[in-house]
Amino acid sequence: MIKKIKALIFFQIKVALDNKMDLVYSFFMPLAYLLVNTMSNSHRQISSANQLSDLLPFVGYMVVTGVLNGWVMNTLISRERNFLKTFTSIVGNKLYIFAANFVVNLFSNLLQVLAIVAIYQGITHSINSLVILILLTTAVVMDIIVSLASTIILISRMKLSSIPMILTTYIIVGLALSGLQTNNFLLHILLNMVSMYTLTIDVGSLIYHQGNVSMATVMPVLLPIIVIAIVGLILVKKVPVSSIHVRG
Amino acid sequence: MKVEKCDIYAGERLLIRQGSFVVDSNRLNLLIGNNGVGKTVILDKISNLDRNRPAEFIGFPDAKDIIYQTQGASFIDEVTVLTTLKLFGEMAGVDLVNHLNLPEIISKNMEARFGNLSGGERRFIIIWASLQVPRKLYLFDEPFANLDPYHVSQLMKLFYSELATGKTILLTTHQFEELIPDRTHITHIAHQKVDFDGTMTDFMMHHGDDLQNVLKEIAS
Repeated sequence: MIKKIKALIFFQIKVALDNKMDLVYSFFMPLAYLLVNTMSNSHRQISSANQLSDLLPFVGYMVVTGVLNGWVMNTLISRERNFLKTFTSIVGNKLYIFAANFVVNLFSNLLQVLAIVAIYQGITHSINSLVILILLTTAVVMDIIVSLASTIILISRMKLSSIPMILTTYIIVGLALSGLQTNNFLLHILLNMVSMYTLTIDVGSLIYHQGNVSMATVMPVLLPIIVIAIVGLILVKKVPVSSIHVRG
Repeated sequence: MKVEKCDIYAGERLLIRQGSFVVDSNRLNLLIGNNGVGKTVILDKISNLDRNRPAEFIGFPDAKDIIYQTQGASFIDEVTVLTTLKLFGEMAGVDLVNHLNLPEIISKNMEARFGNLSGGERRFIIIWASLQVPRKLYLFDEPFANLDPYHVSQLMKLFYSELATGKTILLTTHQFEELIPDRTHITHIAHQKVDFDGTMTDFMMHHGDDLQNVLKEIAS
């Protein structure tokens, strides 16, 4: 199994290297935004807390955009082109293909996050390995959670042509929701269940403040993660490899 | 492997009523019929990739023991033939790149991107590579489409030679040249039913003088 997944990962890397357009959305757009915002403050050192406050929304955006435009779109397109069926048959198990796709997407996202953080810390002369570690850990956790959450898209009967519009809407609405603050315990859980940006910021904050947390701060992060993980793991086995809309 | 009195649907649409047929492990199995009779749907259900094989499909291997090549011979266009062969080799546990009987159409295109090959070249390479992966059952949907007569002949020889190694092959086709009647099993679907199921020799006798008209109708 490991040998097959390893072979698939190398294969998917070759495919991913040919598909550089995704980087425009997941890397260059946040980079441009970051450069505009940090250039004016480039003269002063920034504390760990402020760095996380600046960078966690970028990590959220990069993970969500990377997963939706990466593994979700790749899976949908290959399924509608009838390729996923052939590929699954050759490999013998669709979960190997999903796993390889996920690993390649994860490393691509981590490299982009690392590059953004390095550029930010370089410009602001605030090299801080703890911040890098927290952001990369957050990116790993959120990549897993966003990938599992997006299995809902993969089993739904949405037309392929509608998917980019839905993904763009989610990205925009999610960004708007990320500014929402609430002290209501249930609303906070609900918000983290639907907004992966808010959840990213909360996961990063939780890792940073791990020595000083209460049930009220842990549960709104932990509960959505557990629910999404369970639902995602059930749904991923049910993702069809044949086109939902076209016969044969 | 057989199907017993099964109503076969595509979504809500009934394609075959109470269809029964066998897949003969000792012969090349052909599923024939006009467009839209349900040949691809049958292959889909046999492949069981989406766990939707009806209970009336009896004795077919599990999805992981089947290779299924769909109509479009779709593969990833961005990678080279060499990379594609390496991947198939990893899945098969054999070195396909240095295979002793590598067909010329593959060896001369090793560095070519898959997307830059013709439809026929792509199809031949994928089918050849698929046959090198050890499985119990091989399903090919229209394997001869877009192939020139030389490669149709090559592929036909390959299919018959693979039968000797214990592989069971089922394919849909509109191509009836170069078939060996006593080594071929035909399932003919027409008018929402299995019209004939048996050896090609029997099929020819069954239709008698009308055989050429029947084949012409299916081939068109």
